[in-house]
Amino acid sequence: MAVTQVRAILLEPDDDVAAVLETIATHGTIAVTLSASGKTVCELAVCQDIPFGHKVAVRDIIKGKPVHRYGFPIGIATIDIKQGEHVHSHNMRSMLSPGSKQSKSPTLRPAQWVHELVKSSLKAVGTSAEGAQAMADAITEAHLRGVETHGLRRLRPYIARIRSGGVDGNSRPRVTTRNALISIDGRNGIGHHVATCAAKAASTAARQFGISIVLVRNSNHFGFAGHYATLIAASKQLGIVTSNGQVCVAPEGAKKPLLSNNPLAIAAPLRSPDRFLELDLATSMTSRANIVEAAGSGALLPPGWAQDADGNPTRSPGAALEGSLQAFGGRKGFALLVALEALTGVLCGGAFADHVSSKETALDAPEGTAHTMIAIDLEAALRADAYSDRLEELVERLLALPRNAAADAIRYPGERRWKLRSERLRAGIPLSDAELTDAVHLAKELGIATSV
Amino acid sequence: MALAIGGLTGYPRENGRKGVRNLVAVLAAADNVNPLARHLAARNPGVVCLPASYGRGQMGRDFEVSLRAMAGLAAHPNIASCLVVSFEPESSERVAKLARQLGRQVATLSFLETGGLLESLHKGNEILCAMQQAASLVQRVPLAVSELTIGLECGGSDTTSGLFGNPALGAFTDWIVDHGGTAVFSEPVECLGGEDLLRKRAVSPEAAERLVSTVRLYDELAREQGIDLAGTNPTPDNLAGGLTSIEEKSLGALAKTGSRTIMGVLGYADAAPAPGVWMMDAPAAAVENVTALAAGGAQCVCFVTGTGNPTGHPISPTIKISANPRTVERMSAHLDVDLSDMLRGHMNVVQGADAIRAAVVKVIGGEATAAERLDYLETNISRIGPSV
Repeated sequence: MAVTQVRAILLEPDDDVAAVLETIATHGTIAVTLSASGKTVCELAVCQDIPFGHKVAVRDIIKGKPVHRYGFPIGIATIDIKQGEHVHSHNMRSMLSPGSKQSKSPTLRPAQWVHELVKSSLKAVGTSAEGAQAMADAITEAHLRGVETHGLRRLRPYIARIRSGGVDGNSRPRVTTRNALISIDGRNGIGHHVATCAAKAASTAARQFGISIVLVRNSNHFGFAGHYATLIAASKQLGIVTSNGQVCVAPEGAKKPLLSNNPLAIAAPLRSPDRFLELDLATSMTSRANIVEAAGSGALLPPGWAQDADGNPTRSPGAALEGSLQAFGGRKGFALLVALEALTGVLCGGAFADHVSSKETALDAPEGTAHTMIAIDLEAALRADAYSDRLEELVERLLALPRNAAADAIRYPGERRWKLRSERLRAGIPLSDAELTDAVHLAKELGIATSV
Repeated sequence: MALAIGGLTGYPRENGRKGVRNLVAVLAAADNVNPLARHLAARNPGVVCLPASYGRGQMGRDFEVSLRAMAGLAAHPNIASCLVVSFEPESSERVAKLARQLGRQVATLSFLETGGLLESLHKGNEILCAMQQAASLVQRVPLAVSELTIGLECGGSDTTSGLFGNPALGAFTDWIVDHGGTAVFSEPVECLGGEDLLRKRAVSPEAAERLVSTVRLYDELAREQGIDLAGTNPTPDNLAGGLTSIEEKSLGALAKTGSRTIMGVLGYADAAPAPGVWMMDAPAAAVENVTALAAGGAQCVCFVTGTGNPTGHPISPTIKISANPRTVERMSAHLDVDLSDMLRGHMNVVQGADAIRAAVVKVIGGEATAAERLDYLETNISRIGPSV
C-alpha cells in the first residue's frame, strides 16, 4: 500500500494556491483536494520544502499577476511562480501594505524634458505652436513649483479633449480693447494659451493706464491660476487672477452643486526676481484632483470636505465625486466664491455657474470657461522698487515673529513654491513612476521619440 | 446523521420575537449601581446580572450608543423579563423607553427613589421573584429558521480558522440565509483588504460603498493613533502560519460569512431590519463584540477559534468551534464543535457545516454551551468617546 499522500486544500476551484496540511520536507507528489467536497482534484509534484498551512502554487503564476485564494486576489506575484512552488512573502506581496508599494525615490528629469514632452505631444496632435508653448510653460511651472495636481497627469485628458474636438487646438483668441478694459473671446482655444494672451494683454494695458482688467469668455481649463498671476507680477505689476470651471461646489444646505471652486490668485514681486508673493487658492476645501487621487488610493476624506449626491456629509471619495465639494471656510468661503463668480463668469458675458461644461463627462463639448485678470502697475502706483521694498518688509516681519513650540516655520504665501522652483531648476523635477510611465506611454502612442 | 430542520422551538415574546433561553435579568444602567445589581442577582439564583462598565459622564454619540446597547440587551428575546436598576430614576427610564421602542416592557428601580441599598434589595427581590415565576410559565413554541439571528465571530484565529473553521461556518451561514434567517458578522477592522469581496457581495452599490467606507474608517482610526494596519498585518505569528498578506487574512475571516448577498451595515447594537447577511460596525475585541451582537438581538453566536477563546455572552449562548487538533485536545471543556477531522481529511466543509448546525440546534433546544457550563460569561459595551 502506498504511503498516505500529503493533502493540500483548495478553497475555491479557481484558486491559484492551495494550503498544504502537513509540512513537506521531501520532494514528492501531493493531492490537491477541494474544500467543499473533500475530493482530490489533481496531484502535484512539489520540489520545495513547504511548512504546514503554507501555500503551494497549483498552476504557474506570472510575475505581476494577482494570486487568487478564497476566489479573490490576495496579492500579486513579485516573480514568476512555477506550479508546485511555495508561495509566500518571497514571491508574493500584498497590494495594500506600504512595504510592498513602489516606494522608490522619484526619478528626476530636467524642466526642459517636461517642457519638450508637452510641446511635442501637442504638436503631434496638430495644435498651434503658441498653444503648445503656453501649455508646456504652465505644466512645467506646475512641476517646478510643486503643484503636481496640475502637472503631467493632466496632459492625457487635455490631449483627449483636443483630439475629440472639445478644445480647438488652433484657434486664436479675439481681443477687443477699450482703454484699460479688455475683452477676450477665447474662441474655445487651449485654456493656457488664451490665459497667457490675457495676462500679456493685462500687463501691456496696465503699463499704459496704471491698471487694467481683462475679461475672458469661451476659454478652457488653464491649469493653475498662480502661473498667470506671477506672469503679470514678473512685469513689476500686481496680478490678480480668477477663473470659473467645472461645477463642483454646493452651498451649505444644498443637495446639488451650482458653482465651481473658482480659484483666486494674487501675485506681487519681491526684491529678488526669483521670489514672489503668490497666493493661489481654490475656494473649495480641496481640489477635485485630490478627491480623484483619494478615490484611486482608497483613502478616506477628512470630515467636512465633501457631500454625497443627497447633500449628506461624506468621507467616501466615490460618493464625493458623484456629489459635491464644500467651500473652504464655511459660509464665508462660499460667499467669497459667489462674489468671485460675479466677477468672473457673470461679468465676462460667457457661461457662468453650472453652464460651464464638465471637462470630464463631455469630452467633445466646449467648456465655456471664463477668467478675469487684473493688473496694477506698481511703477504708476508707488514706484516698483518702493513697493517691493515695502512688501519685503512685510514678509520679513512676518517671518521674524516668535514661534510657538509646535510650529516648525512661519511661511508667507508663495514661499514654498518659489523655493522649490529654485531647487528643481537646479536639480531637476521629481516624477513619480506613474507620472513618468504614463507620459512616456502617451509619447509613444503619439509617435514621439522620448529619451526616458 | 440526518438533521431535522423542523422541531426547533423558542420562547415567544410580546414583540413577536422568540428566544432560545428564558432568562430573567437585572441590568445596571450605570456603574454606580453595579453593587445593587450584583446583590440582587446573588439573592435570586438563576437571575443573570448585566453590570455596566460606565454610564456616568458619558455624552454625545458615545452615550447614545451605550443606551441603545443597554436597551438592546434588556429587550433581548432570550430574556423573559428584565429589571433595569439605576441611581436616579431618569437613567433606568431612558433605557426602558428605548426597550419599549423595541417592543419590550422592562421594570425599573431607582436606588435614590427607593431609599438606598436595603430598600432597593427588598423591592428588587420582590420584582425578580415575580419575574421568575412569570417566566416559568412561558411555553416553548415552534421556531422557524427565518426567526433566527445568528452572530458570527472569530477570535484566537490561526491557520485552521481560515482553512476549516471559518469556511465551515460560512457554509452554515449560507444555510441559515437560504432558509430566511439572519446572520450578523462584525469586526470591520478585520475586513481590511477584503473590500473586493464586500463590493462583489453587496446588495447594492450604496451598500457596497457603506461596507467599504466602514472598513476604511477603522484603518483611519488606527492611523490617527499612528498604527498602520496594512503595515503591521499579517503579524509575525500569521506569517509563520503561512499568511502572506492582509487581504488573505481578511478573506479568511470573511469566509465565516458564507457566500450570500450582504445586505448592508448595522450600527453598533442595532438589530437587522431584514433577513440576510449584515455587517455590524463593532470593534473586534471578543467580549465587546459578542456584547454588540447580543445587543443587536442575535439569539446565539457562532464563534470560530484556532488557538482557543473561552468568552461567552451571558444572554446570547456562544458556540465555540475549532478545527485545531491541539486546541481540541487541550481545551475541550471550552469547545462545542470539534472540526479537527477536517484537518485529518475525514470531514469536508459541508460536513463541518452540518456539525455546526447540529450544535446550534441542540443549543437552541436548551443544551448549555461550554461557556454557559463553565460560567465563563462576560458582557461589556464598547466606548467610542471619553467620559467627562
